[in-house]
Amino acid sequence: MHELSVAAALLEWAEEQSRIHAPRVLRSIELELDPMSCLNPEALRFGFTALTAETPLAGVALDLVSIPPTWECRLCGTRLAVPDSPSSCSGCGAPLPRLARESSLKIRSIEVDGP
Amino acid sequence: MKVPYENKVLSKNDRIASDVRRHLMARGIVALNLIGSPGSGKTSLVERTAAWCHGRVAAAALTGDQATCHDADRIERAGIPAIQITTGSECHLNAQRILDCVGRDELWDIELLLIENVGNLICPAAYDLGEAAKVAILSVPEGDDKPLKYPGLFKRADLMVISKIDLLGSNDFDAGRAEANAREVAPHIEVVRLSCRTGEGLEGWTRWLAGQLAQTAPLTARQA
Repeated sequence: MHELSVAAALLEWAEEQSRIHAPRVLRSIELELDPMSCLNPEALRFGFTALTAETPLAGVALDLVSIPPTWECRLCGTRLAVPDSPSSCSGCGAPLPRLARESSLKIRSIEVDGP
Repeated sequence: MKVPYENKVLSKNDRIASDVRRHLMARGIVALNLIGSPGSGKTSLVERTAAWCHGRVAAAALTGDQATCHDADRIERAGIPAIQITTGSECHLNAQRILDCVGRDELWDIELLLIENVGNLICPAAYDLGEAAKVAILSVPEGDDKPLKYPGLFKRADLMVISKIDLLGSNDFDAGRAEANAREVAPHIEVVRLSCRTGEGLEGWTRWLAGQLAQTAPLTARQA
């Protein structure tokens, strides 16, 4: 539902990266997306393509990698990335960590032209 | 050439939410993010909570809606300061909205901040507001299958409130099944059943609230 605003934030970040790495040209962005992120990969890709059309970033590819969600222990804060709710914390043994609070779209790497 | 970014979080909201969380913790404020469908009883629960807080806990509320200040008016009448956040076209509150409010007079010297989100089971779940806990509110008329249909919220919630239990029996809602469905998607979730209309079960909610407040108090003392 918020793919377009996420795509806009991504565009802003990509523009900054383009400036940092100039004169090399940004080719692709590798993102991690977990199934609990409430983001539809196709809608995100569509939004990014629409926003970058006819700009210097047109054609920059989004490489979306699916990762398991992150769970967080409510007592000690240990984090664990596994597909299903873990029954206990791997750090302190407390029962039933919850899904981590923050959104789960993370940038893993970018690909730029040149050496 | 590949440039690694070590899982840099893109979301500006997450960064603002961390600031809000630090700010609230430093002031010893427990913030609760109340999320449920329109009409699930969020405002009624805030009103009941306001009455319980009287003479016990200094509290205030932020309430989000697309339009009107009906909810803030209702909550103020129930006895605690309330700030209405009108979101216009937005279907959820975000951390910036909370940050814009935390310095206001109404929120000075409080211990409990009740944040009533925009009525919606989907989008608010994805936006961290810097709260200490998320509370999912599911009312009897909505049906007991909602935790299975909207797992994003229930997986993130610390507590599920089954509201309007005075209406049990008027439809096929089975409170036991609702709990089982919630635990299927979120084994950690705590559950209370209550009716704001009759007052039945409210002690379960206030006990949970007292627990949340007690967890924060020692933390504040340690930091002081």
